[in-house]
Amino acid sequence: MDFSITKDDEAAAAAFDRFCQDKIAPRAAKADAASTFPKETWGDLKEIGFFQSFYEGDYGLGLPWVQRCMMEESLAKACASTFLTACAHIGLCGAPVFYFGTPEQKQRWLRPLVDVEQIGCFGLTEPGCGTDAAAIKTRAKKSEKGWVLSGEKALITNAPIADFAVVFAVTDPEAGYGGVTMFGVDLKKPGVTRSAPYPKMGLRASPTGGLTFEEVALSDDDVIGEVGQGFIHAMQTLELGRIGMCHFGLGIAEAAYDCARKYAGERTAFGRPIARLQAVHFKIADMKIEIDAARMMARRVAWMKSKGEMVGPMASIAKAYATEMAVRVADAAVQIHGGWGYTTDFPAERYLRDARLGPIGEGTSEIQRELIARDLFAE
Amino acid sequence: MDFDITADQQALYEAARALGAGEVQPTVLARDKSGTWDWSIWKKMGAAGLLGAPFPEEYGGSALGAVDTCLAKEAFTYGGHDGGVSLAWGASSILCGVPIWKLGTEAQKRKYLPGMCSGDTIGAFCLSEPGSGSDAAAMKTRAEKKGDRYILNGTKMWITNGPIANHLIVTAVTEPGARAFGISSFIVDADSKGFKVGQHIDKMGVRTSLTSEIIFEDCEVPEENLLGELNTGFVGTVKLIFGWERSCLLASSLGGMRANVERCVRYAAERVQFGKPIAKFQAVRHMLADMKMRYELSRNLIWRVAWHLDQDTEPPLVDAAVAKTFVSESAQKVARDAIQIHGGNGFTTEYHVERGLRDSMLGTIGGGTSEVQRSIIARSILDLGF
Repeated sequence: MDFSITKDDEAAAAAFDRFCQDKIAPRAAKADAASTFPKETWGDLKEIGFFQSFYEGDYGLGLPWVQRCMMEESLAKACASTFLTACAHIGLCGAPVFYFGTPEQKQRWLRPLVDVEQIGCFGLTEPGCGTDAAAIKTRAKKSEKGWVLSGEKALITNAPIADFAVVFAVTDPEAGYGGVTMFGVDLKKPGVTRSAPYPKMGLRASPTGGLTFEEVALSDDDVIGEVGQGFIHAMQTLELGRIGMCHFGLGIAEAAYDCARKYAGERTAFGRPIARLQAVHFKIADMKIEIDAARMMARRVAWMKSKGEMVGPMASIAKAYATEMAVRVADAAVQIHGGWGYTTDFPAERYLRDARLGPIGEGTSEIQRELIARDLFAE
Repeated sequence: MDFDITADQQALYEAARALGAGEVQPTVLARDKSGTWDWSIWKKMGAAGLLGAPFPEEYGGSALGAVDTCLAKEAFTYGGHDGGVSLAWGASSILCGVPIWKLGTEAQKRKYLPGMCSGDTIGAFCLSEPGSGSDAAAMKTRAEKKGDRYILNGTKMWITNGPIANHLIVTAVTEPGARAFGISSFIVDADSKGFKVGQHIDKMGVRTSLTSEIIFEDCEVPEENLLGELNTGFVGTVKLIFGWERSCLLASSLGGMRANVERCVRYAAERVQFGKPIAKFQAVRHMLADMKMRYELSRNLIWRVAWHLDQDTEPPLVDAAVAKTFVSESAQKVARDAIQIHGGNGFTTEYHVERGLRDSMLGTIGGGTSEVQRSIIARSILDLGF
């Protein structure tokens, strides 16, 4: 067991954190108000090497896992919308191509994602199915030239701005879980339309939308991984995503914790800074306790993953706790700010709105608990 | 950074679990009911090398690390599901043993550690008084130098192992008015003149360990029994043990949580209501998932503190306070949920989970209340002006 962090990891993470605070954080409030992803952020993230940090070999630098974790936290802390859009692009969309794609597919689809010449998204959820991913209705029928894709995807992060999507579709309606296949879809193809971005509670700078496919022609080369393995590939990708969502929660919680500490030290009531009141500083102590607990669990799961271990239920534990923790911590930050916390003059309310996606996205808290319970009962 | 548990550590865990399951668990209901101490269990723990886990072999110890000790403590409590015996172990080995090992003279170590390691003797730690618990520096017990000995007068309260301890570390005021800087630690033999075991204290939980008041009436302590430097009893001894206490002692809470999770998994799979095992109801399943979650989250925080001890670096006070609060409060939550899942059966003694809750209640009180821990955390992250 070793809880030390190397000087290299610390230095790299600190440099990335400075970048996030200098470049990303100052845009967060305005981007939220405008419900627009800041275009210049793409170039900045590319320049600092964020998109290089995910994969190894031809598509990245293979950074040590501890560095990756700290970088993701820093990005979510600076702007949760940016985290979500950037990670949906390179992580959720990139991972299936990297892990299950052919060398040609990586060159064709992952290369432009890493280089940010194209924006990616991950098309699993549909209007009528989220957690119950096996119930998807989008169909890909075999044709002479390949496949014909029809159906509708909903609640897709980056859909309004994406050039490319990983799309899950039923190829064998009789085969249940085994009848789902993953495709790479160029969104410029005829038959693809997209909805307007959904107005939403938080993460407003990260555009979310729907994709509709009307008899979109795909070739056999557009199948990622094996035909019929799509559901398994989706679950493997979401397992990685769960570790990412821990960092989403941790980053927002850190930001809320920082702003609460700052405000509590400055705001006076009854003749002294409110930080000196036990009711206030116990809340802040609780923030610290919960952040630490979530972080150590996230690190443990990331470490397990880095060793190639099965992380299933442990990733569920880490994800459910970290994302629920972030909601509690952000809520406490609003409370500590009092009336000001409810206004957009302070960032606490945005942290709370942003954090609220955590227990929903990438597998709800309920499905995480279900997965933990299945493991306990050896089902 | 890694969270690796080695094959040796796994073997240690399994051995400690088996000892608890074989020697402790079968009699725990009766011992809890009558509130009795069992020396035969203590001797077996000594023979298995548990009582001397972190101490060097030359003093009869097992030369294990702090992380190892945490794993052994968790496993033994998981197997035994007896918070009392685990507490007695902590009070003797950690609260009494560690200060002697780290601060004692060679003669003190040779005299006291081997017996505590083998299980022939048991130690205790006397800090709290009737009028001072969390505010330990407000203690009144006095130690005055007279010739080649110190004369102790005062009363210590809620002393785990008090009635049976062969020797006790006692903190006493040696320089009145200097508060935390006027307190010294002594090793007091229970057969010293003027040493008295006061009233035995009947209590809610951890009933398989004994607790009492300890009274010093002109109690004579030879000067060579001063532990560490004069007037460093608080800043030295208490500061030394906080990391050990908030990892190796607290690790028993992990064992309690794991035992509770396992009992509930078994019970929920067997108990049928509305035509199916209650394990099929999400309300039950998700409660159990939360219990498992708390257990896993708690382990990391304890290991983080213990790892510092193994590096011979002082664990950050805040990390230890975070672990203490989170783990002890989680253990209570898990214990409550375990009773809930057991329904009416959970409220009876024979299903073990009601004892689990009673045992867990000490966690947020002993060794610094949750409130004191939150104050420590707040002070380390905020300017509170004190």
